[in-house]
Amino acid sequence: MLREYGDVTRATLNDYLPTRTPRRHLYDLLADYPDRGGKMMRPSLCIATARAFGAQLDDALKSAAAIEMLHNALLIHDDIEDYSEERRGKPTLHMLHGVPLAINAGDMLTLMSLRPLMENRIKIGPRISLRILEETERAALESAEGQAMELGWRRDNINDLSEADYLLMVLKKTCWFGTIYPSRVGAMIGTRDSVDLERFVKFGFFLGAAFQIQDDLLNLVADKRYGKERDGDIWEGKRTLMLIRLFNEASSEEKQRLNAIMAHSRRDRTTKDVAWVRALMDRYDCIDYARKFAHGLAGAAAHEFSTIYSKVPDSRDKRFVEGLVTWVFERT
Amino acid sequence: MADKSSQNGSGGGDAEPLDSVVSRAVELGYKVVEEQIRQGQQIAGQLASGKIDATSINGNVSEIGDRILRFYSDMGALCFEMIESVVRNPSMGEMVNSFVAETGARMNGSPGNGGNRAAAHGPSNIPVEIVSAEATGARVSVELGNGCDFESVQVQPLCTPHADSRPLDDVRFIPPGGGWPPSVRVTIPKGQAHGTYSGLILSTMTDEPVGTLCVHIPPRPTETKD
Repeated sequence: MLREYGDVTRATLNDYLPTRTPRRHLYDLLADYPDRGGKMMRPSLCIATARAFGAQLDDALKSAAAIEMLHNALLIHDDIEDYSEERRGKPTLHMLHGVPLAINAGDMLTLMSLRPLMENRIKIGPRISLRILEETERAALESAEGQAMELGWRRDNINDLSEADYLLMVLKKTCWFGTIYPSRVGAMIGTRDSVDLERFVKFGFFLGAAFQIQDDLLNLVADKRYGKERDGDIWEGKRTLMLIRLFNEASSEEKQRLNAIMAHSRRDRTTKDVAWVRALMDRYDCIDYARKFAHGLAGAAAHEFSTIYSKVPDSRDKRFVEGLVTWVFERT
Repeated sequence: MADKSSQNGSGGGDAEPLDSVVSRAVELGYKVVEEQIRQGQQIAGQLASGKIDATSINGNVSEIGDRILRFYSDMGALCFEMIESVVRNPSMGEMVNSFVAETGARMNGSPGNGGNRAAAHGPSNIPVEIVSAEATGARVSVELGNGCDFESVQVQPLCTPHADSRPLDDVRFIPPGGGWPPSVRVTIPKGQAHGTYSGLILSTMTDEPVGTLCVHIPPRPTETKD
């Protein structure tokens, strides 16, 4: 179903990407990341939630396309902020075209996502369309706050972080836009905004947090098939659950060296530094710990799912949403 | 930053048991997300209460005046939007006209003119929304038994006697919700041939007819009549 909903979302999204000039410096760049594929989990979650609650595919398609456009816009900017060099198996957009053009492309893709959201009014009416715009604003705000937290930790080399700090950052940076917002929009469409949306915050948080930890775990294996560079997060100094666990478990001497490595910029980190950090993570069972932690969160997501969907009739879409909880682990 | 796990620097050793990690993850997760929900509700409550105190009124008369101007400006914009909708959907204009006529008649104490109501309401007086990418001039009439539950009816594809016209099958009954009354939404695809399309409304509980729905699409000026 990811492929099915992903294909229709991609087709709808492409309708909103112009092919006029300037192509080489703008519109071809906008199309780059969407064309590289991707899991399409966010739009699929939106569509499946909407359909599980009774909507038709067409009712949710424009919102799904907007979600994917926004997601790709954020990826362009994230890659610059993280100094990432690869995305989905190819060089990142700023590596290909330079930072200024990439920033501009990300800005434009963000703005273009407004068009399908405004056109929602034709299919689902102005009231729900406006509510979806409000949700989009909220998701963007939370995402930016979460990103600020994480970037701030890196810039200021803050390492005395707790697991609660990590979860709050992930809730804002990843879960709001990744799972909470698509679920809430889908539910809004499916029920004409007549259901309590707060329940989806919990479900989306546990699902998204489990997904993020699993994503970070995948980064620590040779996973070219997922388009990520191995140990890329250590290179970037990203504050993952594994790194936070390591800082909390390491000896004073080890912490000193870790602090020094994290204080360096990506450019100044060496292969030896990264290998040492990775070996230390293995020695302190940080990876196994994070895997267990993610299992706990996935269990909570399953519980929240049953709370929300207990009275929703069985359907392919309902089963798909339920399956996402276990799918996050099938990626390994 | 609080709530740290143990700092033993022991260099690894025994892995923490699964149960312990899982329960910590769940407990911490609920603590974090419930706090966020609580903060969100608090902010929403403050925004919704819209408290104004005397000092803010005295000190902000011009601000209130600005707000009033903005309100009328928004109302004006909404009126233009409504006019645009009416231009694109003439049957909506008939609905507005009949509403105005009915309201005026009630104010004058007479039963009112129901001549155009069939176009947008039909005898069941159900609001109808026509969704179309082009102005079709379509009229819809709905006849539905009293007390029908909008959540348990469906309409058969609407057909014309002409075999080569594709049926209209995007017709939805929208139950009441969020303060909105029940309504019917008819989507007319681009290029739909003119004609009178009709079909039965069936109860999904009993499979028996409970009404009829009819959509009349007049010929376009460039179309030749049969």
